[in-house]
Amino acid sequence: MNRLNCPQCGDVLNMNIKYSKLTRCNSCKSTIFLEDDALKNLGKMNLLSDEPSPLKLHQKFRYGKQEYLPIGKIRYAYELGFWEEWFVLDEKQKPYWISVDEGNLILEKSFELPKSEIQRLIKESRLSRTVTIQGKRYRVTERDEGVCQGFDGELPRAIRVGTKLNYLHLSSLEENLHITLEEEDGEYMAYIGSWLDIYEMELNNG
Amino acid sequence: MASLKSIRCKYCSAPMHFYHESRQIETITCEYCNQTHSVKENFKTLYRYQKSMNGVRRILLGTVGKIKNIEFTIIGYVIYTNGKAESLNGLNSSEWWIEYQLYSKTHGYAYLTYEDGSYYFYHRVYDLPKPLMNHAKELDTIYFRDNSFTVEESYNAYAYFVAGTLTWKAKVADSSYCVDAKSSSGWFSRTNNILSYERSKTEEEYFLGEPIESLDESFLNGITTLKQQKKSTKGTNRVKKESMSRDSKRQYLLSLISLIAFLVSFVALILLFQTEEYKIFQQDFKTTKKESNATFELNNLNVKHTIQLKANILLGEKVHKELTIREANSSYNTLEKDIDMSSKNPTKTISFEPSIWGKKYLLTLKDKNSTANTTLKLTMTQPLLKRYFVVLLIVSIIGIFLGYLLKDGKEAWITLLIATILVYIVAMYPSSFLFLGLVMIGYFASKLGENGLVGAFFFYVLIINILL
Repeated sequence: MNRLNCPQCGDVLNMNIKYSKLTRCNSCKSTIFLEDDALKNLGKMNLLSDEPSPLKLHQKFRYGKQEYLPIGKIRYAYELGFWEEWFVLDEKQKPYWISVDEGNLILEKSFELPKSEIQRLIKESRLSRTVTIQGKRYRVTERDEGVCQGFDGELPRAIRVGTKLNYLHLSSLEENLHITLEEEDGEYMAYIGSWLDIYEMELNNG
Repeated sequence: MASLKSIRCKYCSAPMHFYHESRQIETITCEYCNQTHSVKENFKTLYRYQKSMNGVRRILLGTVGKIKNIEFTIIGYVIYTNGKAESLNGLNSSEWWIEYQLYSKTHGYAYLTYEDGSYYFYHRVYDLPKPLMNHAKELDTIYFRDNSFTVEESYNAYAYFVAGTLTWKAKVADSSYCVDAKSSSGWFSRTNNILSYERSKTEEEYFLGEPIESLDESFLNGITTLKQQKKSTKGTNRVKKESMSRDSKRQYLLSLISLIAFLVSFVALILLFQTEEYKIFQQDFKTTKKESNATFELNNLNVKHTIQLKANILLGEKVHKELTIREANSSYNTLEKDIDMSSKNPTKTISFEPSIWGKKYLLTLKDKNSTANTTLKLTMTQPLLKRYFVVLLIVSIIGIFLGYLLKDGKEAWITLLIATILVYIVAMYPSSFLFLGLVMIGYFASKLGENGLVGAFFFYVLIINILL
């Protein structure tokens, strides 16, 4: 598939099909989902308001020796605000997620953890408790839920506005290593990564 | 200006202002009655401050300004003391400090600290240094990212006064244990960053800080005196001028010291390649007797170092003389003796090491087998670098002392002091250079990291150049 067209208006879609499953048509604003190589129109989703963020869609930034390109984002709301999950690709087109919450950025990639283990940890772990995952000790630093407000750009999975996301943040007691365990719509996901110092990022926000 | 949401204090009903909404905000303190409320527990009243804050200048809550080109709002602050205190009166300016809580829509929370006339910008970091700083002692070396830091001090910080909104519960008289480590700056780069460790009852945190050379004008204009809620334009201008003037004076002094250091290095470099010898003594020595004495003085003799004495027989035939040099005030401290001279070989270069303190020397010329009239032209010389070495040393020490007083780049100046002393030792006792050089490189490499190693290597090369 070399070129993808919007099933609603026919305009060309800018979609990196290797990773992207969900995108928004720039012309008619329809949400397009790629399912088994066929495009499906999911209707129109809420447009996200333009909130200040250190990251910008399709504007590369550099951290250390690596350059990243943000291609999509999901916004989740919680009681007193929101946070965003940015879908980024590195120079070798490897996919990562960057969680952006009030200046705290955590770069994570998905990692293998049995569903039953994620389920158990989300259910049983309490704030400030120490748990052991794959032989390393982590402290539970956050346990909360958010509600999906919408998305922008391209994403590797379908999302539904209004879906609840239960999550658990864990920080290593020995190093800069963070784990996020999530449950959304009956799906369980585990991500591992490290905290990024926003003041060390070379942001191209001009 | 930042957007405002107002609620009322449960204690005095005065309006309280949120400068932004966030799940991270833990407490809000009423600006009128100083009652602190828990944001997460339905504004339950927690504690009340009754400290006297008259005359304390601070930046107004809600002031928006830029640091590192990022827009921040002052949303709260805590005044800390380094001991339990009932009043700030009587404490000197280094015994208390203000920590402002900053908020940026893009960069989140950060801190602006005002202490002893200087501002520092801090942000929390989650990557850990090696070793961890919870048991760090003074002068320990801490490695963080690609820099090394030297532990400067550890202390207890006591919350004295709280205002605005904070992301943690700061309670008066609550203490936290802090350790500050300063980045080891070298001669070629100075970062002056501070890595700060803080341990409270509930958590351990690390912060990375850096000095702010000149605070954004918006923040300076927001400075006012507590208990005087209206902004006074005259007052703020004065504060600004004072602050700027102190900063510029400090900068001026630092620039001057840097200039001195550069000049010293430059002069040393010129002298290093200057082979011309400096004449310290010249005398015609006439003798008609079998044994003649002459006294000469070595003034301005700075360093115990080999001196070249050139004796040249100008007049006289078939002479066979014998030269002896010794200290004038000592009959036994002979420096050189039985130096044969003859008309066939009329020029002699004699090397000897005079004592630093013996200024007068006695030169005895003995006739071995002739009583012919002889005239000796004596020229005593010293290489230029050796002669001015002490002057350079003194200038360096003055620079080091001034730098130390200013408490800026302290490690760099101490490094320079140690290196200079080592050069001095090596200049006096050249054979020690190999050993000292290696020790020096090892020490600086372990203690000061990259910059220390570069500096040590530079001096090592310098020493080898001097000696070779």
